[in-house]
Amino acid sequence: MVSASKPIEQQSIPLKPEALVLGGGIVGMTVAQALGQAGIRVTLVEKGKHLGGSALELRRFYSRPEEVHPWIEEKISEIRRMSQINVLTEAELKDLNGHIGRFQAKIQHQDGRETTLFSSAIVVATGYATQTERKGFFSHKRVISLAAMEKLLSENSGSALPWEGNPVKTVTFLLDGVNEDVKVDSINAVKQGLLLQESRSCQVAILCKDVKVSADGMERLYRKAREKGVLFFKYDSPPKVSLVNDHIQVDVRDTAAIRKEEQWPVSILSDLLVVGEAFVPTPETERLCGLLKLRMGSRGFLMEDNPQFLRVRSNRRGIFLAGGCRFPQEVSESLIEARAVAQEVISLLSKGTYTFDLSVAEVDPKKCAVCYTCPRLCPHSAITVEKYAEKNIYTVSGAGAETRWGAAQVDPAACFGCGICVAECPAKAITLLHETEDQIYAQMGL
Amino acid sequence: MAEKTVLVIGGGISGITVASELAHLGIPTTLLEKEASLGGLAGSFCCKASESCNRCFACVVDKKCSETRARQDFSIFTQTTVTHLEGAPGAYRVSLKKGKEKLSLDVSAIVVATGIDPYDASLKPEYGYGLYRNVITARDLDEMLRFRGTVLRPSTGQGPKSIAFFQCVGSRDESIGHLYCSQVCCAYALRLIKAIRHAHPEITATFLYMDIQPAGASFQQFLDSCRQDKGIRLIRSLPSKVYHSPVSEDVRVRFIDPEKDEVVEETFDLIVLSVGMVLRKDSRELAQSLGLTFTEDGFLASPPPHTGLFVAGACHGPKDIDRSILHAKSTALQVLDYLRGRF
Repeated sequence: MVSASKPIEQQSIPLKPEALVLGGGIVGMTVAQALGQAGIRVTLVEKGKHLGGSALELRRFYSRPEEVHPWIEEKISEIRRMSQINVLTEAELKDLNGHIGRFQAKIQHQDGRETTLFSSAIVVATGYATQTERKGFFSHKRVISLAAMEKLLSENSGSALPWEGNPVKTVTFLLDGVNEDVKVDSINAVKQGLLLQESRSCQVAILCKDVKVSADGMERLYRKAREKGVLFFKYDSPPKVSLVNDHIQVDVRDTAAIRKEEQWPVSILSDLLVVGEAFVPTPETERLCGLLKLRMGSRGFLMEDNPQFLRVRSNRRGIFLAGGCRFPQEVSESLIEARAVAQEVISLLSKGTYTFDLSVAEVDPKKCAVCYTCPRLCPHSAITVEKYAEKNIYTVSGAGAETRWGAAQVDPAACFGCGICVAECPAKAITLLHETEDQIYAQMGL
Repeated sequence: MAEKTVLVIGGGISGITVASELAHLGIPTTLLEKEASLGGLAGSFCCKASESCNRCFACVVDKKCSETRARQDFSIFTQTTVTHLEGAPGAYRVSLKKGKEKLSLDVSAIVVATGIDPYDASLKPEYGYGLYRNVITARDLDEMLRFRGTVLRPSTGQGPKSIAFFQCVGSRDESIGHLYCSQVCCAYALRLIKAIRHAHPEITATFLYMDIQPAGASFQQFLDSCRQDKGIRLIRSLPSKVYHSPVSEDVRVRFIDPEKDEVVEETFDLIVLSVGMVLRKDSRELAQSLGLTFTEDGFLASPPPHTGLFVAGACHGPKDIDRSILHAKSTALQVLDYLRGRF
């Protein structure tokens, strides 16, 4: 691209140290805390009444001795003490305009108030939701979720686990019914199974497709659970669940034996059947995607398929994704991710300006027919059309009266210079600076 | 103390990330690399795309390395090792050796990002690595794909027809004292299989595993596509032994076939061992001279932040490329907090 090229200019936009964090779970709180400590003013928006999020369903970590609740309470009070962090509970994002450095967010409070905020960067940490199967046998009262078991264990501290007045003797975990790729279930089941077997004198069986041990310390925990007598069965097709004498019976083959004739069918009669949850995006994810103009992954989580974005940068510059809204993960991994996202934001805002090369797309307003092709196609939501609005209006003196038009506008700071809009514009109104048609023809020798 | 400086030991993806994050924030940073070039282990991986990207993150490492080489804001010492450390937290004096040259550096904080080594598969003689030419490690295969562009049988130089992948070589194995999962090898081996099957559909692959470990958001789709592929057999059975025919150099494997439910012997053209992660041997010595402790699994434990010593990336515990980068970024934040007197 030697011919017809000009030096690439640079442009800067100011960045104020202001950030908006959506979601007041442990990830959102960790991001807010780290940003606040670095001197960035943070607004933390949580839709619920309290901070803490879905981690409050956990009572114990699998890998750490401390209890979850005091740890979260400590974090909340630290955040409440920090003057740089403004916490808005019972509030939701209603509208978002603008681009990196100039995001304008409308926050709707539950009491009807509305706040308008300006921020340079946005972190989405809205977490994930869980669903429990409630059909057929799964509606039986002896079938409970992992979260319910976690609660049961924390509420009863004796040497036996009482359930409806009687001590629980046998517990079976049935995992991997829905999600095979989430290890949280496996980790919680092994943790709870070990606790039940070791100190609540229960006989525990864990049925799953694969035992997921790809987390620090999990293989040791799995080993310990087996040593203490927790039984593990790996199944290929879902085991049969039936009701026998008001107890739950699960039929499974003992695949630990090699020869088929030795693989006895095993019937496990249990007092409680603990089933794994389905991990789904939070109900508001879709709305949030629309508001923030983010792309959704195949399963409805906020997901970026481009590895170059490191999974925590979204398709829009200045908007970052952290924690479970991207994919359900284990607490310590989420926290590492939260701190990494905080570092990304600090690194972005540290200079006070965002400087970029002007090798971006540019619309010639005179040629633009306002057909809305480019804003729909732009993968980074860098194009807006403000037809007949105050902006972008220019006047064409035609044969008769003057006509007022609007036009598409590319935000140079948000543009990644991919060229999709250039190729697709029916009116050829968009050029990619420093990759112009003249330059391409010159390179082709035309 | 005049200026607070940071030394990052290890020029792999984690070290590069920590150094560039700190340098970007204006902190004078020095990056040490033992080898002649940056990139470390992940820098030698090949792209494992099939019809589409399989998210192996190898390209991210290459991009990051070339960006780093173009940067001017931190100093990089290649072919340099640490010989000695003295001083106290906040004011360390590090002695370095670059060839015959001896240097010393005053730093406020030290980040150890020395990464991992693939497990030495010859320590499991039953699989015959190092004895039989057609038994290679996944790492050898990766290198072959990157530098020769295709997969070849070492004995003949021809393309193989059937490949067996053995998982958990050096991981989840109490007999060698490795009671941990290396967390990346399942996805790594499956990506290699997908890439090979895409380029050579005539090669069939057999994946012998214990439990398939998930790897991130799009793993379910990826795993489903592996299951649908007729040329890939996923068998839950770890092989007991590899037999070798000295004439044809074919390798025979004993494992349990779940369809027949009995022990079978099958001959493969090539065996690939998915080797796990272990802490580098020289990291052990370095850790001892820095006074770092080890985790139960033999990786480097995070030292208390007031020591001014930090651990980043896979030397802290098995991590894939993107989690190493995220861990490195989160470590950079810790270093920053330390330098600003907050921890």
